[in-house]
Amino acid sequence: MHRFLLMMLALLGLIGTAQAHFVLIAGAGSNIPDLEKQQAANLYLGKPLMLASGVFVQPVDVVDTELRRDFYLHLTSQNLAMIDAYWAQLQFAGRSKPLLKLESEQEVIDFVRRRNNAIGFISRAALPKDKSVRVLLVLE
Amino acid sequence: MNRSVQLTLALVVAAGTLLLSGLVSWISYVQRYDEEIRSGERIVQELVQAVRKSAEIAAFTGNNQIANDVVSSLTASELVSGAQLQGDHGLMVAQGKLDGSPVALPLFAPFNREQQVGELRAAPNYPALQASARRGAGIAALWLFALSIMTGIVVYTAVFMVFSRPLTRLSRQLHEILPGSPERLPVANEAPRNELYRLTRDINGLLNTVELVVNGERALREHITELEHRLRGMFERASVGIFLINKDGRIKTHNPAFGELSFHLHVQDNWMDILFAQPERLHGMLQRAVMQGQPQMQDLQLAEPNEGQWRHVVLSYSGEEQGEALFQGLIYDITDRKQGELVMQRQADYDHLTGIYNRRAAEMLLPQRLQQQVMRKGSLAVLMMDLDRFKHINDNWGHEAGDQVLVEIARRLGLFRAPGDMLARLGGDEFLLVVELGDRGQLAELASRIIREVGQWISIGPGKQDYVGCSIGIALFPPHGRRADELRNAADRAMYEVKRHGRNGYCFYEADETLYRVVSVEVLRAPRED
Repeated sequence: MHRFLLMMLALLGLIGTAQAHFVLIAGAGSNIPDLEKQQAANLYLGKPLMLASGVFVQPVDVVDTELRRDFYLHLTSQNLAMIDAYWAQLQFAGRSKPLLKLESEQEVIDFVRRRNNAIGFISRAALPKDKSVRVLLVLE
Repeated sequence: MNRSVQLTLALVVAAGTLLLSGLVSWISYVQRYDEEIRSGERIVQELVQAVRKSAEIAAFTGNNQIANDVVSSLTASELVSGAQLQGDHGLMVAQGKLDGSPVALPLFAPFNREQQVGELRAAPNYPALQASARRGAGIAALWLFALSIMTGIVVYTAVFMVFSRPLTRLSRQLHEILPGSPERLPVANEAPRNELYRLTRDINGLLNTVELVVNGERALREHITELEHRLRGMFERASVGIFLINKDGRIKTHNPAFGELSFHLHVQDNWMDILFAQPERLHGMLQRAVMQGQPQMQDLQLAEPNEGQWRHVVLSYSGEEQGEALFQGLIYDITDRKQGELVMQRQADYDHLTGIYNRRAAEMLLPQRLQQQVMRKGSLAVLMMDLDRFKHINDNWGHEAGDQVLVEIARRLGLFRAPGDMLARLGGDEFLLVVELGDRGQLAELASRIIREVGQWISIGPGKQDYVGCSIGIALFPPHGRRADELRNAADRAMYEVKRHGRNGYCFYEADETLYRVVSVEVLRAPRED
C-alpha cells in the first residue's frame, strides 16, 4: 500500500516537474519582441541577436541547478552536462564570455527590469503580478 | 641458331621477367595511385568531420575565432590546399585555394539537426596528393619489380644449377668423346638419381655399344684391307694375265701381266682380232662359255709379227653386271712349251735319219687320207717299196754308208712326191708312198721312173759309189681295200710277189694270186767313174 502510494507520489512529482512551466521575460519597457522557442534556444546557446536599436540581447542564467536543468531540458532537450561542455568549448576556443548567472528568480526579475536588452527565465509561479516584466515566451 | 641452352634460357627468363615485372609493376602503380588519391580524399573528409563540431559552433555563434581555428587546423594538413567556413552573422573565413572539387559539409546548429547554420568546405591538395600517391605507388611498384626480378634470378639460378649447367657440361663432354673410344661420361656417385643421371648412364651404355660395333667393324675392315692387299699383290705380281672383258672383248680390268702378254694391244677395242692368228676361236669360246656354263680353254697362236708365240687362254662367264655380260679370263705364255711340243711331235712323226714320216706317222696319217678320199669320192694308191742289195751295202761299206744310202734314197723318192702325197720310211729299207692317183697306167709309169731313179749310182764317200735296187707293190683304193691295214697288206703282198720274181720291178695287187703279173724295169746306169 505504501509502495503504491510512493509510486503515485513519484509519478505525480515527475508530472509536476515535467509540467513545470517556465516563462522567458524581459523588462516592461524593453522593445525585445516575442520569441519563438528556437530563437530562445539560439540565444541561450550563445548565438548573438541584435535588436533594431543595434543592441545585442543579453540572456541571463541562474545558479540554481535544478531550475537550470529543467529549463535547458525544456528549451534544448539537452542535459546540463552537455550544455556546460558546449559552453566550455565556446569559452575556451571562442574566447566568449559565459552567460551571467544570477542567484535567484527575484534577481532575474530585477535584472531584466533594469536592463532593457536583457532576458531571463523564471518559473511561471514566480512571475510577478505587476506589469514590470513582459513574457516573451512560455515554455510548457 | 647456334645458341646454347644456357643463353636461350637466360634470355627467355630475362625477357619474361622484365616483361612480367614491368606489367605487374605498372598495374600495381595505377591501382595504387588511384587508391592513394582516394585515400587522400577520404582523409580530407575525415579531417572535415573531425572539426565538424567546432565548425558548427563557430558557424552557429558566428565566432570568428573558432572559425579561424577550424580553417587553420584543416589547412595545416598537407593534404588540404584550402578551406572555407561560412556561417551565420556573415561569418566567412577562408584560407588557401578552394579550386577543384572541395569537400562540402553542411553545418547545423548544436543540438538541432534541422537548423542549418553554415557550410564547411575543404579542397584536397591534389598536387601534393598526387605527388604522395606517385611516391607511394612508385615505391610499391619498385618493390614489386625488384621482387619479380629477384624471383626471375632465383628461378634462373635454380634451373641453371639443376638443369642447364649439368646439361651443358654433359653436352660438352659428349662432344669431346670420339665414338668408339674407351672414353665415357663421368658419373658422380653423389649425383642425384634424376633424369640427367639416367641420361648420362644411358649415353654411356650407348657409347659401350658403339665402341663394340666400331671396334668390330675396324677389325673387320683391317682384315678386309689386308686380304685385299694380298689379293691385289697376287693380282698385280702374278705372271699369269688376269682380265675381265665383255662379250665384245672390250677390257674392263686387267693386271700388269696381261698387258705384257698381250703386247699392250688391249688398249684397242679389237685387241683380240689383232693379237691372235685365229681370233674367231676366241669369239667361239666366249659364246660356248655362256651356253655351256663351263670354263673354255684353248692354246692360241699369235698373229704377225708375234706368230712364233703361243698363249693358253681360259675364259669363263662371270655373270651380268649392269646388264652387260662379263667374262673372266686367264692368259698364260705357253710359247716355250708349245715349241717343245712341236719339236717332240716332229721327233715322234718323222724319221730322224731321213727327215720323212716314220711308221708311226704313216699309220696315223693313212686312215686320215682315206677318210678325206671317201668324202671326196677320190682314189689313192699305196706304193710299198723295199730296197735290194741294201744288206750288201751295209756289209761291204759299214752302217754309216748304209745310212747315207737311206738318206739319198729318201731324197730321190721325195722328188716324186706331189702336193697331198705322203712319203714315209717304215723302218729298215722299207718305204711307203701314198699318191692321189687311180689310173693304172699312170701308176705303172710312176713306178718305172722310181725304180730307174733309185737304181742310179749313190756316192758313199770320196771315190766310193754303189747302187741299190727297188721292188714296188701297188694297192689301189678303193678296189683293193677300204681300210688302211687292208691296203697295206695288199701292197705288201704285191711287193712280195715282185721280190719272189726278181729285182727292179713292180706289181699291182691281185685278189687272185694266179693273176699276178710282175713288170721288170731295166735300169740304165752310167759307167762307173772309178
